[in-house]
Amino acid sequence: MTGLPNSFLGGIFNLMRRYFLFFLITILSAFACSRFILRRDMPEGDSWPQYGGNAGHHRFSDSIITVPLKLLWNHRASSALGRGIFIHESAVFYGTLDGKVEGVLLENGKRIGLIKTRGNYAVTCGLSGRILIVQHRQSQPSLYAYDLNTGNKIWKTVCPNSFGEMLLQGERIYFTTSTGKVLCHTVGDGIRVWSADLENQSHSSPAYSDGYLYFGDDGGVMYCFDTDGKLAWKKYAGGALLADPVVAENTVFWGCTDSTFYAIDKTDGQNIWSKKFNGRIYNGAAVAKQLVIFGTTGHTVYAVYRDTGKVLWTFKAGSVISTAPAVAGNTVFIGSLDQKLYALDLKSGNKIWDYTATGRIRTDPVIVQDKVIFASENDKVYCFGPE
Amino acid sequence: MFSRYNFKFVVFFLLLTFSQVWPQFYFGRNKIQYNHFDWHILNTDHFVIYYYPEMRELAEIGAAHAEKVYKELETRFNHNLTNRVPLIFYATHAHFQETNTIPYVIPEGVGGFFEFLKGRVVVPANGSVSYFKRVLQHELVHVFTHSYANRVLKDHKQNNHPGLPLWFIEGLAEYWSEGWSSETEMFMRDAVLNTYLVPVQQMHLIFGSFLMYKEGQSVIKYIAENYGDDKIRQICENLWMSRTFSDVLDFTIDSDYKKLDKEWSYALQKDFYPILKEYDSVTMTTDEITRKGVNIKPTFYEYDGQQNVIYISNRTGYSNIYIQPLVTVEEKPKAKVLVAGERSSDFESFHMLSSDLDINDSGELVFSSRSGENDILYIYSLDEERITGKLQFAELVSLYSPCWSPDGDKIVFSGLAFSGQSDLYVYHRSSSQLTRLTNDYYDDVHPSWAPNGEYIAFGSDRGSFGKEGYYDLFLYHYSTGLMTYVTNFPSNDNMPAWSDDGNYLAFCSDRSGTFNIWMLETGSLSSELFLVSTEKGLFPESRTPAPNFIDLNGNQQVLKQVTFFTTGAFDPEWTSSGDLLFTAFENLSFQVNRIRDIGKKYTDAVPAAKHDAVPLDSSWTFSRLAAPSDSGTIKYNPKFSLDIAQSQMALDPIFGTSGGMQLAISDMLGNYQYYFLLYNTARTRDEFLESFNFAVSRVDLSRRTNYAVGLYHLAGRFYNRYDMWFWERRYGGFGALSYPLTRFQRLEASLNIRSSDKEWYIKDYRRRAALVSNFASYIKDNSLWGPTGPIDGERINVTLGNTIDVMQANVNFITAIVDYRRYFRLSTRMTHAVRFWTQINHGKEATPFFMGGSWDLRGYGFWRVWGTKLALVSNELRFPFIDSFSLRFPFGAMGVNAIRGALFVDLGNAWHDKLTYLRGSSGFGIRFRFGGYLVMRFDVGRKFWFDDPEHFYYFRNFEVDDDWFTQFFFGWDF
Repeated sequence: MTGLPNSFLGGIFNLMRRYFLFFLITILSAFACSRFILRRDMPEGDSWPQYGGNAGHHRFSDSIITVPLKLLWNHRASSALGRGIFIHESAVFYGTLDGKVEGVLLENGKRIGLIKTRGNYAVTCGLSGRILIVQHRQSQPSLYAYDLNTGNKIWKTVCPNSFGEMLLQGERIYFTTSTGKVLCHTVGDGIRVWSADLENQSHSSPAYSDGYLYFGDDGGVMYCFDTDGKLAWKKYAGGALLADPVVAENTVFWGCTDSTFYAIDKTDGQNIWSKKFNGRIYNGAAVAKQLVIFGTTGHTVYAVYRDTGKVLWTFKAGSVISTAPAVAGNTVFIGSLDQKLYALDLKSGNKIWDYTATGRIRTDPVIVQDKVIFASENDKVYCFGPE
Repeated sequence: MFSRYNFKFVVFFLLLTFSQVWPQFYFGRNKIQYNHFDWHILNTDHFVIYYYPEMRELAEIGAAHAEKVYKELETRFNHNLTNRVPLIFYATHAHFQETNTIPYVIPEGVGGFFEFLKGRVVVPANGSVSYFKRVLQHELVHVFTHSYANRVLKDHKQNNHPGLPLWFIEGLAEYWSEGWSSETEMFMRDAVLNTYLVPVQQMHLIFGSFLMYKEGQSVIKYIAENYGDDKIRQICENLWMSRTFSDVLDFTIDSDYKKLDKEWSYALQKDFYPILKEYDSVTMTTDEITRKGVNIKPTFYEYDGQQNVIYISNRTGYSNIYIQPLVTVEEKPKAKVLVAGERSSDFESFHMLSSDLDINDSGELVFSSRSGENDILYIYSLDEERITGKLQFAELVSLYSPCWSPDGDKIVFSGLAFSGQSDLYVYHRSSSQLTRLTNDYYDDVHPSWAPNGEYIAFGSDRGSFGKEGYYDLFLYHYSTGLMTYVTNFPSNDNMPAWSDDGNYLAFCSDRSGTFNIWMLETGSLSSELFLVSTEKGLFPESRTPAPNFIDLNGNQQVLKQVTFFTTGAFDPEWTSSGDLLFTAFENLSFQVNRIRDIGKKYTDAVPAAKHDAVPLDSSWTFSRLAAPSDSGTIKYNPKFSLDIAQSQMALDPIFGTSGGMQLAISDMLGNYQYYFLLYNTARTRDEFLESFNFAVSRVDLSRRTNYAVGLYHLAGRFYNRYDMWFWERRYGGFGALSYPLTRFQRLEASLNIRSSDKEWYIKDYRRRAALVSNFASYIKDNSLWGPTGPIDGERINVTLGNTIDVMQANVNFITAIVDYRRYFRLSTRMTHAVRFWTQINHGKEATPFFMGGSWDLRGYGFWRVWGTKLALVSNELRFPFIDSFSLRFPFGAMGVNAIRGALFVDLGNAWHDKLTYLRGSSGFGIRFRFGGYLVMRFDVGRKFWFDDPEHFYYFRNFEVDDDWFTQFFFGWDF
C-alpha cells in the first residue's frame, strides 16, 4: 500500500472543496432560473401592470416618445406571446402560448426568470404590486400567485378556463370564463369571493371604474356588475364582444364583431352613440384626450371623438389591425398583421414612423417611460426607445 | 436483379423518376398533355396567377374575385397570409386534367384543389363564371384555414397535432363559399328523410365523399346560426387545446360530438319533417323506371309502337348508354348497352352529370363524349346499331347537351371554347357548317329546340341574377338571331323541354327550395317579343317589361309548379303519351322516373304568383382586375423549389450500415422535375469513396411525350438467391420516353448505358462490361377498380429488350415480358380475374426473375422461385365476403368495410434451360382495405406439383402438399 490513497483521497476532497461552491451555485442557479426574484433595488418607474395599462384599459401614458425610435433590444421568447405584456419596476413579464411566464429586464432585455407551468398550454399573467398572478388556459386551469421578493409560490387555486385577461383591482382578481361565468378571487390567498353566471361564453377582459366592472360575452351581451358580484345592468349588442371595454369618465367604449363601435353610459347602459365601421373589431381601444382610438379588420385605425363618435381621422394599414393601440403623449402605437408597428400622430393620424418586424404583430404594444414594447408572432419581443 | 438490400434505394429512385413517366410504374392510365400552354403570370397584391393568353379575360375575372375574397377571409379569420398564393387557372376541365401539379389522373368530379407541397391552388373553369368564382373561393378558404390552423398549432408548439378533421375543413370551405344552396338543401333533405344521415361522430365512414362535404356544410351552418359566425374561427383558434376535436368543440361551443349530433340532427328534423306535409317522396309518387346504380339524362324514343327510354348509367362501374323498354322496374325491363364508355379512347366520358342525350325521329341518337383532346358529338343509329357520325370542332374543347332540330338537319349544343367561354352553336348536317349563336361570357346551357323549329329554349346566367350565379330560361329566335327571356328570378330555372305540340315548356327550378319540375304554357310566341340583341350578350337600353305572362293577344301565360318532391327532379323529357320522364334524386342516387299524364297535373296545379317574374332591366358585367399590381404580366419562366427532402440511416445485422438522402424539386406547374439520390454503404473507411451511390434525373412532363434522363453511380454488396453474394459497381446514364397513345394505352422506351464491374464472391469470378440496355413497352390499362383491386377491364404490358456488352461480349441477352390481366365481370360485385404472365431473359449472363409470395405464386416463399424464364397463370374468383365488420371494445370501436373473398388457382414455374415441372397452389383468401390505402391480404390453401408440363392436362405425377399454407401480407389484387 502506497501513500497514494491518502493523497488520492485528499486530492479528491480538495477538489470537492474547491469546486463545491461552483456546483452549489450551479445547482442553485438552475432553480433560480425557474422563478422570479425581483431585486429590492430595482429602479422605480412607470408600470403597466395589467392588461390595458390600468383598470379602465385606457392604454394611455403621459410619456413623450419621440420618433424615430431605435431598437434597444429584442429577446426571443420560448414561444409566441399572448395578448399582454406587463411591466413592474423595470421588469417586463409576459406569458407565452407554450405555458411559460418569462421576465426580462426593461433596460436590456436580459432574462431574469422563467416559470414553466405544467403542460404546453397558454398562460397569461398580471401584477399586483410585487405579486405576480399567473393564469393557465388549459383543461384543468389554475390560478397561481408568486411572490416576486422570494420567487415562491404563494397560492394556487383551480378555476375554470379563461380566454380573456384578468383585471386586478385592489386586492381582487376578476376574470370571465369559457364556461360563461365571471369570477372574483382575492390576491392575497386566491380564495373565490363570488361567481356570477353570464348568458354565454366570454372572451372579454373586464374593465373597472368607480366600483363597477364592465365586460361583454360572445353572445353580444354587455354587462355591468358591482364588485360584489351583483348585476347592475346589461345590454345587447349586435355581435360577439371579444374586445375588452374601455371606461373613461362616464362612458364605456366597446368594439363589436358586427363592426359597430359603441359608446355606452356606464351608469345605466344607455346608448350614447354607436356607429358602424369598415370591419370587425376584435381588439380594445385607447382613450387619449377627447379621442377614442381603435382598429378594425378593414385595415383601418379610427380616431373618433368620445362624445359624438365623429371621425377625426383614419389611417389605412397594409392588413388587419391586430392589436389595441397604446398612446404615449401625442403618438399612437398600433400593430397590424402586415408585420408593422405603426406610430401615428394623435392629432392627424399621419404615420410618423413604422417598424417592420419579422412576424405578424398580435400582442398589444405597451408604453413605459420613453419606451414602447411589443411582440411579433415569431416569438420576438422588441423594445424601442429614442435614438 | 437487385438484392433486397439495395432494392429499396433503387426502387425508390426509379419510382421517383419513372413513376412520373410510367404511371403506377407498371400499368396505370395516362395523363396526356395535349396542349403545350403558353403560360403567363399575372401578379396581384396577394396572388401570383398562372394562366395562358387564350383565357386572359377569365384570369382577370378570377384575379379580381380572388382579391375580393382575400379581404373577406382576412376579416372572417382575423388573419392574413404572409406569402403570395400561387393560383393556377385552367379554362376548361379538359385542360385541368392535363395538370402536372399533382401526379394523379384527375377524375371529372374534381372541381379544383389546394395542394400543400407548394401551397398551390389549381382551379378549372367550366363555362360558368359564377361556378369558377365559387370554386376559387372554396379553395381560398382552404388556404386560409390551413394557414390559420398551422399558426395556432405552431404558436402553441403542438407539433404532432392531427389538425382539423376533413369534414370540418370541407364543410367550412363549402359554407364560406356558397352559403347554402338548393343542391345542399336537396342532399340534406334526402339524408334526413331517408334516414341515412351520418352523425358527426361517424363522419370517418363517409370520409372524402360528397355527402361528407354536404353534411360538414350543414354542421358549420348550424354552428354559425346558433353560436355565431365567429365561433367557427374560435374553433380553429382553440384547436391546440386538445388532440380530440370533440373536446375542442366542447370547449368552444359547449357541445361535444354527442351533444352536437343530437342538437344538429334534431334541428334538421324540425326543418325537414314538416316538408312532408306538402311534399312527397319521389319513389312513393312516381313510376320507377330504373333502380340500380346511377341512371340519368333520360331521352324518350318510340319505335314500332314500343316506347323506350335511353339514358346514361354507371351501374356496372363504367358509364354506358343504355336503352330499355319504358316500363317500371317491377316488370324487370332488360336494359341493353348501346354504347360502352370509359374503356376506350373513343368514349372516355359521357359527362353524365352535365350533358343531355337526344334522339330524332329517324332513330339517331346524338350524344357527347370526351375523346382524346376534345369532345366529339357522336351520332348512333339505333337501326344500324352503330356509330354513324362523329363531329369534332377544333376550336371547341367540350361539347354538351346536343339537341336535334325537328327536321333532323341541325344539332344545337353548348360548346366550351379554349378560352373558357360557353356558348350555343348549331351544326348543319347538310352543309357541315357550324354556326355560333351566342358569343359572350354568359354560360348558355341545355338548349332545346321547339317543335316548330323556330325557337331554341335554353338556360343562361345572363339574366338580372346571373351575377349571383342564378340561371334563367331564354328563347332564341332562330331565323332572326334575337332572344328574349322567359323567366327572370333569383332562382335556378334550367333544362327546358318542349312538349310535342310546342304548347308547353317544362323545366326544372329550385324556386321552392330544391329542384322540382315547373311548366309554362307558351301560348302564341311572336317574333316581336324578341327585342334584345345577342351582340356580345348585352341588352340594349330600352326594353319592354317581362313578356312572361302576357302574350301579344293579352292572354295570361301561367307558370306552375307540377311536382312537389322533397328532394330533387331534373332533366324533364316528354313522352308521346303525355307523360314526363325525369331524373329523380333520392337516397343518394339518381334514377329515371316517370310522371303519368303531366298535362292533368299542370291543369290541377296552382299558378305561381304574378310577381314571380322580375322585369329584366339591366345586364350585368364581370368585375375584372382594374390594373395589375405589378408591371403587367410576364411570361412564365420555370423556377424550382423543393418538394421532398428526406434522409435515412439504416443498420442491418447482415448488410451493415447505410445512410443517405433524397431530394426532389420541381417548378410551380410541375412540368419539370429533378430527383437527387445520395447514399453510402461503406462498412470501413477505405470503402467510403467506392461505396458512394448517387443518382440524378430530370423529368420533363410538359408535352405529350414525357421523358426522363439521368446519370448514376451505384456500388455496393448485393445478394440474390441466384448470384448469391456479389459486389457490383455500375455507373452510367439513362433516358426514358413515354408516349400516351390514348388515355388507356401508351408506348414506352428506355436506353440505359452503363459500365458494370461485377465480382461474385462464391464463384470467385470478376467481370467487367460496358452494357447497353434497350427496352420498349406497350401498356394498356382500362381497368375498373373495386375496394381491393381491379374488377373489370384489362391490363396489358408487353416489353421487349436486350442487354449487350459492347466491349467484351461478356453479357448478351434478350428480354421479353408479357403480362396480360383480364377481369370478367360476372355481376356487379363479382369478378373472374385471369392473369397470364411470362418473363424471359435469354442469352449470356441472363439475369434471373423471381416469383413466389402473396403477389403471384401463392403459397411459396417470397421470391423463392427463380429462373431466367418464368411463366404463371392465375385464376381468381373475387366476390364480396363481409360487407361490414365491427368490433367494440371498452375503449372504443374498430370497423372494417368491404372485406372481399377470393378463390384462386396459380400455376407456373421459373426455370433456366428446360421446364421440367409445374408448381401451383389453390385456395381461399380474404382482402380488406385499411385506412383507405393499405390492402391487407390473407390466403390459405394447398400447394401442388406435377412433373410432366408438356402433358399437364393429364395431371401425371400430380402431387398435393399434405399441409395447408397460410400467407398474410399486404398489396392490391393483381
